[in-house]
Amino acid sequence: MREVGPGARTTISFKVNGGAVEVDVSAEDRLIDVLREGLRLTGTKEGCGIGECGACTVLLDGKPVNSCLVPALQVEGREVETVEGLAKDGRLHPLQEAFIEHTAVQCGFCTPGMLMSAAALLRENPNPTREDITRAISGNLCRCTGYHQIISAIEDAARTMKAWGPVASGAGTSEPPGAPVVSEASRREIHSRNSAD
Amino acid sequence: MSPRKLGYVVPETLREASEFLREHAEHARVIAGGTDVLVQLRRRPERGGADGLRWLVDISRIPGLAGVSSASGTIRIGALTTHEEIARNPIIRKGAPLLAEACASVGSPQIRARGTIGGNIMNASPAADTIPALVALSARVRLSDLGGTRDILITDIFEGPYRNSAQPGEVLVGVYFDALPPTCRSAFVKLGRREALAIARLSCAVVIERDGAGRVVRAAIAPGACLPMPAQVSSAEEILAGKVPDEATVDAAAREVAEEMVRRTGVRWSTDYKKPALEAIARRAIWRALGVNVE
Repeated sequence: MREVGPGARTTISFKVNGGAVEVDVSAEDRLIDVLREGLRLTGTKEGCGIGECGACTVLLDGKPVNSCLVPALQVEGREVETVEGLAKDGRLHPLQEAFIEHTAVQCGFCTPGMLMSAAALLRENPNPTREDITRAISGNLCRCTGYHQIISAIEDAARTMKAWGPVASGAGTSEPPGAPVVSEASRREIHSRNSAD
Repeated sequence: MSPRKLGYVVPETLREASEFLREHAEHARVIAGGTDVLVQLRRRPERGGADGLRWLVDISRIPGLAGVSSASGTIRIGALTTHEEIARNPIIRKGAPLLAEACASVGSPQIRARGTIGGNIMNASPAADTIPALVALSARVRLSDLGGTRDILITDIFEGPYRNSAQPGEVLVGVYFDALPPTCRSAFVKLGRREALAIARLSCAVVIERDGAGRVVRAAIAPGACLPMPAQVSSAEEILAGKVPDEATVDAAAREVAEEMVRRTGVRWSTDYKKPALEAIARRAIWRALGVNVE
């Protein structure tokens, strides 16, 4: 029986975005603490800290979970995917491209969690209806967009991914050929959109 | 995270879990999916936070405690089975559709992927979604300790809001109930402040069995989030019993559910709202358990 006493620390091993990691944790650390502070994967955001807002959503063994409600010690031997694992070889994931295309990002704080919930949905259901999408992101609060742009972006990403045929799932797999590259122009566009807000 | 200093143990067997829980009694708490425990750890003790807690006992790696099975008409749900698994499970969807509905209405996809039925029961929140459904199913829960197991009625596991009756060392291992026969219909209706992530303000679970002539042979009505202790409302069930329910009968039974709530809780500041709201929810749930969809 593994025992970590009050105040003591221990090392846990698990996979993040396909790579094996070892991190020093205490009994009170949560998965989000390990990701943001231990591994400096700051793409995952902490919003409410009590599982209400979904900003901290990551995939644990492929399922979307609130990383603020997962004790770090429960991640031992398991697989975590964060928003940092979506882009491959400098190319954004179709969901990320679609979010930019549809202006589904305003302040951006909910975006990483929203993307992970959407990624989990599209893996399980490549042809979601708008209702399926609404249900899949019902645990992710966005206070800026009013959700319509996000839902349209996810719909659009599903179409794009379907056009490519079988979608790569899981971390470490390669992107289908022809995935768009974020161009310098679209980067500038994002920047100017954000500064115009 | 929080200023308190907590320890964490990961037992590999029920024996290890029970031994540790006996030794540390009120200073230890079982954790599985963590969706309630981690929220409570962040609260101050005076606001319902876990005071005096020193150890979390993580039972999530004990084998054999997850999954749904059925044998000779009895359905067994392991304590570690998540809401998501229950909501999708074909045995539950066929044999206890109201429980599938209740599990599908819990929290959000993220919470349903982690939260377990055992945790929902043992956390004993008055607003727990699975509890009215389990009460209407007359479920039993199985507790395991060093000396063996004991089965008790679901209603006997509750001592009050957020208090269960398990003894130090006892771990809830599963929930059991009879699969509903094809002559039964059931419904779970919940009123929250919004669709997702809403804690139930009020809910109602109903099971109704009818004979070939359409007469009610058995009715079980269990409202949620509004009684001091989870229970069926037998006075409302009796209104339906033996009748071929028409609008007046259903209205009377629904009114009785709301009146019984007021009798049990007394008149509170919220009664003006809760009484007609519960009546409407009970009416909707009864009609749905009679095969009629009403809004």
